[in-house]
Amino acid sequence: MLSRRLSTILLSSLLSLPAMATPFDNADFTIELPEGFTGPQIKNDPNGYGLVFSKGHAGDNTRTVLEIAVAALKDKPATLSETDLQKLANHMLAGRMALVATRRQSFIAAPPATLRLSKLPAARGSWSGKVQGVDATGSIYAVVAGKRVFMLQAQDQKRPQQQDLEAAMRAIEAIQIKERE
Amino acid sequence: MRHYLPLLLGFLLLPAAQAFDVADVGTYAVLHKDKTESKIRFHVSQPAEGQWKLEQKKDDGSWEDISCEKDCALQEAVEADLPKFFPARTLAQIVPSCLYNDAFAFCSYRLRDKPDEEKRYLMVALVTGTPTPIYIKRVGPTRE
Repeated sequence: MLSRRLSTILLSSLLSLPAMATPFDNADFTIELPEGFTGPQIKNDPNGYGLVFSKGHAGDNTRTVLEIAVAALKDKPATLSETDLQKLANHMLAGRMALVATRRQSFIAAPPATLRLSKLPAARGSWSGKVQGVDATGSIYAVVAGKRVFMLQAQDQKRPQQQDLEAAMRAIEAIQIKERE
Repeated sequence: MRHYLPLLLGFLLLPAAQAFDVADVGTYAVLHKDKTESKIRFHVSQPAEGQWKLEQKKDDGSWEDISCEKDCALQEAVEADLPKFFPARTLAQIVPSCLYNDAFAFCSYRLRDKPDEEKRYLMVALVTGTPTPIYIKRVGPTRE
């Protein structure tokens, strides 16, 4: 009887805990998903795979999206120079930003930034534009790890407060990429 | 079989994929969905035979060299590379010449049935997902 009461108390206290970041882990990376993000939806990719996590917003039908795509680089030496890793990340980003530009109206991009993701040279581009008439904003990241390229992006409708988008960007910037052959 | 013969002859008479041409050196603007120019501009140049340089325009109007030193340098595509960028049904309609690396292919092309028309251009985003065309417009031969 006592144990049942204790279990009830324990369960209700657990349920009343504030939602926390949830780790997502696979063979390529670990990421701490921000509160409220669910998924992944899996995207088919001939060179790898794509995972889409998202968080819905009460009151409208929109979602903040955090997407991670991992693809194999063929015919690449296992180790590239630091300079070429950065340049390749810049190229990946430039290609992806060009693709996003073709799919948005009123597209504006901030100058690309260099940073490190999981201690590797990476590139980040931020954009804003209209998606089907709705003002949206997002950031795209590119990083090359061995023979894999990671394209990561956070995207949301423009809102007065962008805390979910910012949380998704923080999660991306804290990703831990695992070493593989 | 008789129906296919003219088509087959047409293929044989058209040039095979050729290297991106020195005449293609210039500045290219990425186009929006509605075909208006975006602010994303690339300049392709050929500093030496077989060597290609790619620059991207920055907000302040200067150009940044984004060419790789060696392992991700732009290469001239050969015939066997083209199916990596275009589906067979597209290759049946166009004769492309491309530079490429792991991130994208930068191509000029002519329509097979209109070989005398001016060259057109497009980029193809590679790496993740199905290769996807990005429409670009040649702005001119110089950095502009």
